[in-house]
Amino acid sequence: MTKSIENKLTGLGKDLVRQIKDGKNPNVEIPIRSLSNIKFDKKDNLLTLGDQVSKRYFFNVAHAKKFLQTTLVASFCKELVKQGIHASIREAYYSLKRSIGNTHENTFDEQSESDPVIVDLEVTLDILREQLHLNADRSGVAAGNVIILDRGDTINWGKLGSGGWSVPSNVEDIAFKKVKAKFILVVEKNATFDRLNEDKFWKKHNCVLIGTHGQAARGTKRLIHNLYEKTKLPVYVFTDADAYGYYIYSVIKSGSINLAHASQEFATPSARFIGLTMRDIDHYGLQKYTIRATDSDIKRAKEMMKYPWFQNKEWQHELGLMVKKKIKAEQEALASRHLKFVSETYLPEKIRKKDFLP
Amino acid sequence: MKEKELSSEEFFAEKYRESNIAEFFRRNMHMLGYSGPVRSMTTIIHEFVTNGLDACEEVGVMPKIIVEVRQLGDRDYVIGVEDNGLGIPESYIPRLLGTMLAGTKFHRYIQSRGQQGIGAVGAIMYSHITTGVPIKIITSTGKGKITTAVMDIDIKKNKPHIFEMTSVKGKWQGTKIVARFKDIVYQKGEQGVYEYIRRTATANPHATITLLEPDGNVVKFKNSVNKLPSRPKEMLPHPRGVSADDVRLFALASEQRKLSTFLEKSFSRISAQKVKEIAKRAKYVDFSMDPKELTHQQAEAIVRAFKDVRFIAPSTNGLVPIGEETIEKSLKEILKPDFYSVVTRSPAIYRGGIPFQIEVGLAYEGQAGRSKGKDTSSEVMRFANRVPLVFDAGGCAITQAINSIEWRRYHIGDFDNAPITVTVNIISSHIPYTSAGKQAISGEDEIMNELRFALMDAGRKLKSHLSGVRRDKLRDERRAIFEKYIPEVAESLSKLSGSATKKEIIKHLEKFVKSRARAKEDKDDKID
Repeated sequence: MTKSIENKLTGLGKDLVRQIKDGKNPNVEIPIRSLSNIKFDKKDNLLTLGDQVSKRYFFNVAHAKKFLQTTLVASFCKELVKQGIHASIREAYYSLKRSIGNTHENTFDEQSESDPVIVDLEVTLDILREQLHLNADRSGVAAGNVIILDRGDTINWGKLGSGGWSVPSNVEDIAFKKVKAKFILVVEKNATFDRLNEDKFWKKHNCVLIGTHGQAARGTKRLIHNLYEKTKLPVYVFTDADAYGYYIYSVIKSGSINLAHASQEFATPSARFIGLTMRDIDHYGLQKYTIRATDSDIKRAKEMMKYPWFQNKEWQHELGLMVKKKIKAEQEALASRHLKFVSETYLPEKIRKKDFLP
Repeated sequence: MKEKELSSEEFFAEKYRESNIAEFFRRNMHMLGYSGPVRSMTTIIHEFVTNGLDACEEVGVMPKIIVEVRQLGDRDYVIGVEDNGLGIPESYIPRLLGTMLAGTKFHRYIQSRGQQGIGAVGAIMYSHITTGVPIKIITSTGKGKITTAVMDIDIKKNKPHIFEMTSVKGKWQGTKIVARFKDIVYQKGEQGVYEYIRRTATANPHATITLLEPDGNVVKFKNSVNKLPSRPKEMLPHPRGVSADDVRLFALASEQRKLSTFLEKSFSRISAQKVKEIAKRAKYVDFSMDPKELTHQQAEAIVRAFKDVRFIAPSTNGLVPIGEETIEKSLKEILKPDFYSVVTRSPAIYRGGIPFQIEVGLAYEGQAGRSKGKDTSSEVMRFANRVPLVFDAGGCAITQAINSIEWRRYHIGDFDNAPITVTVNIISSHIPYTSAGKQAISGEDEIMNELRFALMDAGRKLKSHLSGVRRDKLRDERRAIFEKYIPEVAESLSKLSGSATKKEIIKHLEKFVKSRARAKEDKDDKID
C-alpha cells in the first residue's frame, strides 16, 4: 500500500522530468473541482467528479506559482510516506513555507494556499490525503456501545464519561471490535451531543452518538462511513434548521463538491435527515423561538435548491418554505419546551414515526 | 538647383516688381496680423523669418537664421533678423525694401510660406507707423564688401528715403535687417515668439534658427536634416482658391492694362472663353478697365462669378510635403520622444478641385507634450505650408479633427493630459482659412476627413509601437518569474522523481525559457 503511494508520487515526478527533458512545457493534469464538473449519481445518491481536467503549466505566468507549490507538496508527501511519519496540513504548510531564492516572495503565504494544492494532488493521483500521510484538522466526538482498536489500544466508547471519544483526523487504522446499537445518530452541535450524552440517550435508545461540531471533518465523515459499512445500521442526521445545517447533512450523505473524487470513501448515502425541519417548528410549537434568516441564508438556500442532489420534492419543499418564511431555527430551540425535551420526546418520537427527510 | 546658377543681380532683375499699395497696407493692418501687441510681435518675427528662409532656399543655401529681440522700454523693442542667403546688391537696396510690393515672391503664386500678404515690407511699414525710426539693413553678396543702409519709406510717395549707406570690407554673405517697433510685447507662452520659432524649427528641420531673447537667454534649434526641401513649383492661383482681397492685391501688382487680360494671365485655368463666362455673371464690371483701378466691390463680384463658372481643377504639381522621414528626424531632434509616428497622406482635393495634402506627426513621452510644473498636457502644433498657426486654435479644423479622435483606442487614455505632441501640416497652394487673419483652417468636409484619416493612421502606428513595448516588458517580467521559480521547481522534482539531478533539470528549464523568449507566445500558454 505505502509502496504504491510512493510509486504514484515518484511517477508524477518522473513524468514531469521526462516532459522537461523533451523540451516541453511541463504540466500536471488536474481534474476540475467545481460545480460545473460535479455529477450527481442518482442511483447511488453520490456526488462524483466529472472528467473535465485542467492543465497546470510551469511556463505560464498564471500557473507558475501553483505549479511550483504542487511540486513542493508532492516531494514533501513523498518524504512523509517514505519515512512513515504523519503531518497535519498546518504542519505541512509550515514545513514548506520559506522565501524563494533571495526574493521576498514566499513559497506559501497562507495555509489557504497549501490546502487546495493538497486536494489537487489527491485528485490528480487518485489517492486520499490520509494516504499521503497528511492529516486534516480534527473535530468530532463519539459515544456508544462500541469497542475499537486504535494502534494497539482497545477503547470502549461507552466508558469515556462526559467527553466521549475524540475522533482523530485519520481513522484508517481504526478497527471496530464490537458494535452494539440499533442506529447511528449524528448531531451537528457539541452542545446537543453533550445534552444527549448527559441524558444517556445512547444507552436508553441503544445507538451510537456522533457529534460533528459543525461541518464534519474528514476523519468524522470517514468514521461514519466506515461504521455504516461495518454494521449497515440506519444513520440519522440531526442539524439546525438552516441552509448550513441542511448542507452538513447532504455532505455526510452524498459527499461534497471539494471531495467529490472521494465520495465513495466518505459519503453515507443511506443517511436520513431527522430534523430540525420547517414542519417541526410548527409541530412542536417553536414559532416564537425561530431566528430571522439573513440574506446570505436565503441566497444559500436558493443555490442549494438548484443542486442536483437536492432535486426531490421533499427537499425542494423544505428549502422553499425556508425561503418563503425567511426563518431558521437552532437545535437548542427545543429546550424552550424543557431541557430534556430533545432526548425524551423529540428524537424518540421522530424515530418512532420514521419522520425523516430523504 | 537651377536658381543656384543665377547671380544676385540676374535674380533680382528677373523677379523684382514694383507697385503701389502702401495705402492698402494701412487700411488692412489688422487683417495682415498687426492686431494687438502679442500678435503684432509674432507677425513681425514671422515675416522676417519667412523672408530669411525663402532668401536661403531660393538660392540653395541651408538656412541659418538668427533672431534677436531687445527691449528698450515698455512695448518698445528692437528686432534684428539675420539670414545667410544671397545678400542684396547695393543698387537694389532702396527699391527692394522701400517700395511696397517689392517682395520677390509676391507676383507669383506657389505653395508659399507667405500667403499672409505683403511680407517683410509690411513689418517695415509697421515699424514706420509706430516709431518713425529708420530701419537698418546690413547685407553682403559675399564678395568682400558689407553694406549698411539706414533708410525710411515715404508712404505717400511710396518711395524709399536713404539716410545713409556705408560699406566696409569683410567676408560674409547674407542680410540682416534691424528695426524698432512700438506697441508690441514679448511674451512667453503658446502665442509668443519662442513658441513660434520652436514650431518653425519643427516644420523646417533643414534650418538652424537661433533666438536671442530680451532677457539674454539664447536658444538654438539646430538643423536635423542636411538636405533642402525641393522648391514647390510656381503656379498661378486657381480662381476657386482666392478671395476678393487677393484679387485686388494681384491686380495692383499686375503689369496688364486690361482687366480681362489680367485675369487670363494671372490665374490658372482662365481662358478668353472663361473670361466671357465670368463677364456674363459680373455684369457691372468693365472688363476693359485698368486692373489697378479695381475696387473692392468689383473684386467681390468677380470672386462670386468664379464660384459659378466651371474650371478645370488645379494641378497637384505644386504640393511639396515635408515628408515622413524628415518629420521623424525633426521630432527626434526637437521633442526627443520615446515613441513617435508620422504620416504623410497622398494628395486629396477639396471644393471640387483644389489639391491639398495632410501630414501628421505624433511624439509621445520624452520632451513631448507641454509641462506645467509636475503636470504634463498634450500639445498641438498646427502648420499651414510649414508656417506655424498660433492664433485662433479653437476655430481651426485641425483642432476640431484632433478633438474628434477617440485617442483611447490608440492607447492614449487621457489625451488632454498625455505627454504627447501632435503636429499637423496642411499643404496647399490655396489654404482655406476661416478669416483674413489666416490663422485657422476652415472645416471643409474633405479636409476634415483627410485630417481624421491622417490622425488615425498615425494613432494606429503609435499604438502598435506602444503595445510592442508593453509586450516586451511583459515578456521580460514573465521571464523573471520563471527564472525565480526554476531552482525551487528543479529541487522538488529532483527529489520527487529520483530520475534527474537538480542541475540537470535547471539546465533544461533555462533552455526552455531562452528558446521561448525568442519564439512568440507558446500555444500551450493559451490553454486553460
